Amino acid sequence: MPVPQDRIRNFCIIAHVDHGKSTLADRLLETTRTVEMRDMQHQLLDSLDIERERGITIKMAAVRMPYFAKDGLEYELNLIDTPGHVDFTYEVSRSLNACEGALLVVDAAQGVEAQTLANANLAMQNNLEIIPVINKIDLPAADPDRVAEEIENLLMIDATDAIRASAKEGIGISEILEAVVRVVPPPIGDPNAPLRGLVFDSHYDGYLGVVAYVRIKDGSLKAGDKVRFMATNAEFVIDEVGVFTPSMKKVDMLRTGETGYLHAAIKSVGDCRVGDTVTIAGKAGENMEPLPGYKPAKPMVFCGLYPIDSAQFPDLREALSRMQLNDAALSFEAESSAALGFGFRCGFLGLLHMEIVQERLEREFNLELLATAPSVVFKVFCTDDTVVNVDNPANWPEAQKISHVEEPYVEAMVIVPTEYVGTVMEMARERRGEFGRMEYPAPGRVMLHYKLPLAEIVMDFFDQLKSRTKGYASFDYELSDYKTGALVKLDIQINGEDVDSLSFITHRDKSYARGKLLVEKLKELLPRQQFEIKLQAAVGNKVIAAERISALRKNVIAKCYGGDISRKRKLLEKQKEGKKRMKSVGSVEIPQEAFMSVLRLND
Amino acid sequence: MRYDKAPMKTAGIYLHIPFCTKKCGYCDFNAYSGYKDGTKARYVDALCREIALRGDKSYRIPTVFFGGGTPTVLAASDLVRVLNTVREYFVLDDDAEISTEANPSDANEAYLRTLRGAGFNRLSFGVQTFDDRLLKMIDRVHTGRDAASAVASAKAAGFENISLDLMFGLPRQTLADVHRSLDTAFTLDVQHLSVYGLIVEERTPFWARRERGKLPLPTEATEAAMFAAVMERTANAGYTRYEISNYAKPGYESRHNQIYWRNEPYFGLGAGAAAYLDGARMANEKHPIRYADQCLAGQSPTVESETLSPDDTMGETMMLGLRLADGVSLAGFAARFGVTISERFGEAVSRNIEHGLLEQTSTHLRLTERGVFFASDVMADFL
Repeated sequence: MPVPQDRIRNFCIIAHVDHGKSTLADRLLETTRTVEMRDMQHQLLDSLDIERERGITIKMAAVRMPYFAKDGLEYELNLIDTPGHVDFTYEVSRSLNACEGALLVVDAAQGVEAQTLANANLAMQNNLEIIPVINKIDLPAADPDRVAEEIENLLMIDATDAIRASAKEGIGISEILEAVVRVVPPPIGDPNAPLRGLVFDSHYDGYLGVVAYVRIKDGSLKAGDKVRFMATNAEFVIDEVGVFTPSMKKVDMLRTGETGYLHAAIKSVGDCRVGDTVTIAGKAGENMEPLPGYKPAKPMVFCGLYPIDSAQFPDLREALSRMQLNDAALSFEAESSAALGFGFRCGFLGLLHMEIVQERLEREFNLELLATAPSVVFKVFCTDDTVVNVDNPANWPEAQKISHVEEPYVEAMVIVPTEYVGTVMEMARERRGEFGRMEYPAPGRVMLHYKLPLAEIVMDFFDQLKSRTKGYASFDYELSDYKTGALVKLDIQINGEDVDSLSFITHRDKSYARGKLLVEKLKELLPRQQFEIKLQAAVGNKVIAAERISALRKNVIAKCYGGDISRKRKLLEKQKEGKKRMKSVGSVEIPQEAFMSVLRLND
Repeated sequence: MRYDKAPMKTAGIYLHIPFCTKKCGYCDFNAYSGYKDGTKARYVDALCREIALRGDKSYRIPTVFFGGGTPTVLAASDLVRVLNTVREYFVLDDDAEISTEANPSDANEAYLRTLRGAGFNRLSFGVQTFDDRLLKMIDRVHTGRDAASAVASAKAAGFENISLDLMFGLPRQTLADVHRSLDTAFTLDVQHLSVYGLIVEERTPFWARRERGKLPLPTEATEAAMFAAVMERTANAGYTRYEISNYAKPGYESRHNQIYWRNEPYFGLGAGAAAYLDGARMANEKHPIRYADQCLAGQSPTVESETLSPDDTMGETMMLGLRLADGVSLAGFAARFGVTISERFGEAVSRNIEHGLLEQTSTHLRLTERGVFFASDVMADFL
């Protein structure tokens, strides 16, 4: 017997990294006996290794929990997990769209953080009912009253009834479940209307093809239905519908208001994109309005990925294709670099997305990769009135053809303890930030608003912010607009030849310092070779920094007799192995490590 | 019925004496100081047991070489006993080259006369430098004067094939120091010189000192200038460089060491000694006491054995052969492996020729003068 529509509750958990979202989700699963205690694998919802290691959720899951409330009735609670990171704002907004309510989990010691705020604002924009939960009240440093005050000041949410909980200790869990039943509205939607389902996530399964996670807004969906994805117009016959328990469990039908999955031998996530609306194919679905809010995924950050061993190029192509099956936001196209050989220009939602993809490529596909400096998309206005979108320094037009350049800016928000305000302001100034405003959500904490060039953020902002505020700062941003900037392309030359993969776009005022730093670093890292090496940093034709590496005079093993032969052979083999990993620019051999360090070079 | 008689196989014999009066700071050889005479005597017994164990009269033996360590820390009679045991279990050529390394301070005329009488016909003195200040710095127990008198004793004892080991690139050594050492060496009128650039090897006191920044080595440019000076001065003095670090008057090239560089077979007897036989490289137990235990228990002291693939053998043949001034014989390589050097290593050959590091004569492939300075880079390309 399915639960009637008015006893369905779709909700999600909004929390900052480490504020206890996964632990809370685990407790909810246990308490509703969706998963027996003994089957609990710590933090079930995060299924990818990397997610678990980094404590962040990349892929969402939607778990159905049967719940007998204190009113004696059975409810169907659907917990929809959301990714916690700024790179995935769009995915967050889609999964919020699949819900009617949200648990806003705030750490009782740490207080509201920037991501909490950003996601809570998104939830409010989506008209979700918000249930504040102050978690980790068992901690010695917990200060739930202060945190309640922060929630009220920063989020304008009445926190008098905030549930004080400790997911770890199992405190407050039944209050939370009761609040979900009481506060979160049941889904509205017309069960008799033609199908409209929101695709709020998907994953790729080697046997089933794409498994799409859907929220049925109107109508219903069952196996055998022929459906159409409205954004792509792709049509499929449904093989199976089901729910997550949290493992996939087949059901006869997904009804109005429910969440679950479908699969239909869909070969690529590109055919069923997050945010798209699924409807019935043919006449019945012909004049349907798609659900609002669909946006195709748009990469914001780009970098070149090259296999360290050039023989791995086909493997990298294969790996990227397979990753893309599961990640519609990942884009890639082949490119080649004189220094690095063949690789791919890849586009990502943001820096974290980039790191995750690179890490998964290396870990799951056993590739060793070299990534070029991340770049954003610059709009280059040329003197011939054309506009070129440049996401790769290699495509930067010649200086004399450029009239002006625009670059993407973000609205950034940083929450820090008061003592780090100076540090954050200094960092923002170094990165061409424009100060917006400052707020004081609670004693001892400050929220700063800045407009910052995205290019400055993708360099190293996160890492720097973390280390310079000892991890206390939290940070979130959203893209705002494009603005004109004095941007130039900085080239690194070795013996007069451009090392294309080391070129990058930078603000004119920073080009000198950065160019100098780069050539100095290269001088330190490049082994001496049989001839002198000239290192230069140049903007256009103008050399702005130069160094020299004197020639190596000899490399010869003086002694080699009977007892030495095996050892010397191994020594030379090792030397050769090292050489194989070098990339050549002209006749200069550059060790991988030198590339890596230079590419990783932070200012 | 056929009466083909296969030509007899040949192999050199290397014998290792792992003892020194004092171990030098740069030395990473298998050598130990501080052992009492009893241990040494037991070692000599063990070595003779190993010789008996390995004895093989199917080989012709053109060379025997006693190395160390310092063979001359043993009594002359011990060395003679070892050599006689070799003669008992192997077939030495009548004109076999029989060498020993020797420390200048151990070599009095009587000692050397005993060796000469037993058939030793070549001596290699570890002189390193004639500068006492530098000798002390590298932990040598002899003086420059000892070295000169050792040569005189050797000549008096009847040796007509004498080699000196010299070093450059020593801590605090200047280019002028190298010139002075060469001056002295030339006045001694020996037949052979080995002149090595110092290599600071891992797990030596020098390595540790360098890590601590306490090893005042000459700069690399100075060292290269020293190497160039050694080549030029020896040539002017009538020595021909026939290997990267070895110089000889005509006809006095070390026959034994050329076996290594031609990648030909040799027996290795004694603690830690390496052998190369039937395409396999083997090594003995290194520690003299454990080595002696095994031999005296009648066991083989071999602890490592690696049969080389044809690819490895070809690589080693190039690595070693390119050390020789003549280089690697094109015909010899093709006859040995059934493939020519350019077929097997075409790319490495052409690239290094292009870079001016290799040159091909009508019969050989060899390092150029510049190539000698970058020999390791070239050799690595063949491995």
